[in-house]
Amino acid sequence: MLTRPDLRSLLWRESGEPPGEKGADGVRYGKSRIYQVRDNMAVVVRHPSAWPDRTLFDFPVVRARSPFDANASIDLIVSKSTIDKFAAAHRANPVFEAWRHLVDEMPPVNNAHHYLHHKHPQATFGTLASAHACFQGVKRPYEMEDGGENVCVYVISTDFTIGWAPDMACVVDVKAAPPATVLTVQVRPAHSLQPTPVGVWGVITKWEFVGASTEQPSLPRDYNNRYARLLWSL
Amino acid sequence: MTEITDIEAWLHAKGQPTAVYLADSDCVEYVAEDTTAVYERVDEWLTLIFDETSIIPIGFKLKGFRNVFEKLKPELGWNDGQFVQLVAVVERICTSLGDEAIEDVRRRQSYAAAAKLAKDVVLYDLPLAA
Repeated sequence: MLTRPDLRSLLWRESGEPPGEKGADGVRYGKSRIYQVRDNMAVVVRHPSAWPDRTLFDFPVVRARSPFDANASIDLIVSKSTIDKFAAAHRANPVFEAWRHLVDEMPPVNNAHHYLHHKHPQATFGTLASAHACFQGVKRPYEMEDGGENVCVYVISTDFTIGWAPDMACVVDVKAAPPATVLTVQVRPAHSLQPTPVGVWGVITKWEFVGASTEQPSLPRDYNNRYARLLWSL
Repeated sequence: MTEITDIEAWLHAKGQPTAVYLADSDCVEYVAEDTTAVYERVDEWLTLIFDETSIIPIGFKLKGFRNVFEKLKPELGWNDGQFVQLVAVVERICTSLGDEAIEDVRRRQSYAAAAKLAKDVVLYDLPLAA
């Protein structure tokens, strides 16, 4: 087991940033991180005002259940062209929603994580990783496919979502998800699109709140007719 | 596509409603207001977009442009380069269509929504002015 001095040096080496002065509470405050070593465990907490590591329009690879085997996992990427178009149209809400519900992180904007966690501690978010159903075939023209036969649609239930808010503290705010809706996420396999990174199963092309079925409130309205088949339901 | 370099400015700016062609989902989407949206499918070509109350329409989505283009391509002698130009035309048309049609519908629906809300409000006796 590492000793306390070893843990401290490991922390500082890994972060690439030397800590600042030790405060009266025994915690060292760095420029952007708070370090604490206690009970032989190292704790590194991002300082609330620290600038995020990622950039808003660059999404990491996302993990999801495989459409054809709910017990297996696949890697997906978020469509860069879709994000670029939303950015050009000044649509912040879908970009924020993608971070929250696809990546399962707050968008990398100032104060989004700490401030909102403090302001809305009870908020929980449905994410792609917690999708409870998956359909295939969207029954509408989709590029070369007359019926979007290869498009898969994940279904997510969520009580809360996030959106753009004109606030000095943070431009993101937590809000209740639209009532009687589910969040659908459309995915296309990699072979039908432009080249994708090695190991990536497909591309997330769209994510939308849609009205929920009255008979099955966890599924989209008219799910029996709008999709070709149900792949799995948990 | 112009790269957004000043994200802070982008976060605090308010853009104009505009239609955009989303290539990976093969649809043109017009949204008049940057807010949480609820999509209601009408048919295989058209989806209406409402605000989070699902009452006020804020946009629409037209689907399958590339699919139609690919079918017409051999007949009309078009090539893939022309699709890019066609997309620009379609975006411009849908922006104008959206600006006119959605604003008019939103105004009507707003009155309808306000009337519905007003019916649900219970008026208590107002206190006498001091």
